Amino acid sequence: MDANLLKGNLDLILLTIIEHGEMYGLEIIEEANERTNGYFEFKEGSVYPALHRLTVQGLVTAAFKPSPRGGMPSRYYTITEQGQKTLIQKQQEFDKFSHAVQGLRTQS
Amino acid sequence: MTDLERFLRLATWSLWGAQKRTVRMELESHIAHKTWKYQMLGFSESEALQKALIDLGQPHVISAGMTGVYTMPTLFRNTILVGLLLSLGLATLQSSAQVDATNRLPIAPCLESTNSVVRSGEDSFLCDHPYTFFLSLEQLKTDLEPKGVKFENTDPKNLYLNFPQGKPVSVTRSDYSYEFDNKKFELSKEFVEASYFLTDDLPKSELPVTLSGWDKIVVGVGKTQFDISFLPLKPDPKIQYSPPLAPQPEILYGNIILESISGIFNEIKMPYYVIGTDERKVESVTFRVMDKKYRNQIQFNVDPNRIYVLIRAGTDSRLTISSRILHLDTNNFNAIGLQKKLEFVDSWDKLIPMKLDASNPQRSGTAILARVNTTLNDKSKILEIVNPNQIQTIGEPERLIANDTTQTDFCKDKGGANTSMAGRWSGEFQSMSPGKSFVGKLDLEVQPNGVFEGELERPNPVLAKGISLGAFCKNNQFAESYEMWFHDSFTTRVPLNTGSIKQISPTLIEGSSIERDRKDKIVGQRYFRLRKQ
Repeated sequence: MDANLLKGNLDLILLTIIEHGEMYGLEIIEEANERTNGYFEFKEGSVYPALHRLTVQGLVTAAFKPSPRGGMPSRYYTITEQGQKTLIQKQQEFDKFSHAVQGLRTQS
Repeated sequence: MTDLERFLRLATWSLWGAQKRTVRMELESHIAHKTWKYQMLGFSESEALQKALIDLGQPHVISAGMTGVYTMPTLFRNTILVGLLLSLGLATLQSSAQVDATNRLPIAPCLESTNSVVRSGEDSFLCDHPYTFFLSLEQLKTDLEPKGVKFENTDPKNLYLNFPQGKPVSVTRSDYSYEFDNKKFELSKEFVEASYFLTDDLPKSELPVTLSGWDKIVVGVGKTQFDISFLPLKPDPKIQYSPPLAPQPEILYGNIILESISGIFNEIKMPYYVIGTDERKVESVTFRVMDKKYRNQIQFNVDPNRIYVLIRAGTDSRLTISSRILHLDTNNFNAIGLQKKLEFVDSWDKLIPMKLDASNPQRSGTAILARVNTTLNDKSKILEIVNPNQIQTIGEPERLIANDTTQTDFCKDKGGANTSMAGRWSGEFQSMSPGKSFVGKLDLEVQPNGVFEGELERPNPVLAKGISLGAFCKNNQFAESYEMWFHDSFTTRVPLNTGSIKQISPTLIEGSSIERDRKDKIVGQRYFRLRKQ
């Protein structure tokens, strides 16, 4: 996948993944890989700054909670109400864009 | 410092206070989880950790990403304001007098006899974890407080230092704890790690941080100065030290140098040599690589009391420091033996970690000579490359050719050789990539002069593989090793037609198949033996 395309839509991807429940970083990365059959080649380290940015923007909240396998606690991310709204907005934008590109291809 | 610790520090490099702790804890948790997953796949703990770190990517990329997210946290901004006010008040009390602080604890986790992994290679010892020094916090307090440096402990993990006229310094606390000499050290409570303290923590005071000297190292933070001296180590003959009690200044400077170049290279693969200008005896160090020994005699003009570092491109795939003291008492010393004369370059991007491949088995001799700057505030400027035109290298390759390989000297002191190198060697090797295990075949036809041809055969095409061959004399004593890398080798049959193992008289050839992933990371290694047919 084009890295720029991934980068440009990273917020949308992350918000979509955590839309239905709280998840921690590694879980989000693995979920993304699993649901897209490895289409998103995440460099794992790049996900964390993005998650922190979403936190600062108030689109998600984060809290350390016990890890499912024990040991160190994991930082779980939960989408906020504002995050939900942003997600819907971003999904609509993406759909419009995708639709427009499809239209171009059909006409050509 | 462990690889994990180094990664975490680099990844949280740009952060302060609470954000730093949060990101660090989150990444540490991620790494622990991922390491555990790899262990479940059959990797050893250290391999699993390395793979988990590789998956996360470059720590400086994370650091840069986080910098974009966070500005200085409010809490700490307030602390700085308080600190500034305090500093302004205390500035009147501060004189430029030297502070006689003597910090000690010249031990590090890697000097432990029980847990350290000691590898003997060529004529050196490699330590799996770069060793480091810790400064006694109590000693720092005793010596610096009377001189106007204020220590502020907000909680056990937070410590702020206020140097006169500087901004408050958040001191990174380590969670290390270990035992040495029947003593338990709780590092987070008692010590700060010296090189990190010097190059990361102190520069945040925004005062010039200087470091000079070799036997007696003087640290300066603005006008405040203090010494770091080392307690003499008393070697315990029962302990195998790693490295064998290398002089401490080299280790301290070595760590600082490593910190400064870790932002330049993805992985530190090159050996480096710290050169101090004191009165000690010059040691001559040579590396014997394949069939030639090339002794480079290097000459350059030495600035008095300056520290130099010689860094050369290497093939080590491990994140290790090959550390050896090279002191100067003259301005010339013998350093490296390679196949080639050392070629000094003028920029870091020309110092490419060398990789051998089947079509180009020659080792390059690329190197950089750099002066260590006395001011440490900007890591990117700690090393100042010496103009290659100011360095002269002279020397001759010492060839140890012997066409009759049964008679070479290599096995003379190692029980002799059972057989001539010449002949046909073959054996099986096993790949060990998870889920992709297969058995391959390796055949070598070695000529009397050591040149070999052969073929590597495997059932599946694989992206990039390599083999390393080692030859052994009687009693399995190691004689020589040889590495080849095959790039873009999507085929199942790889011709080996440019190799040369001239100087060995083995009883067997032992090697390992090495697998790399698409990003050129080593993902598997499996040892094998070839028997003469």
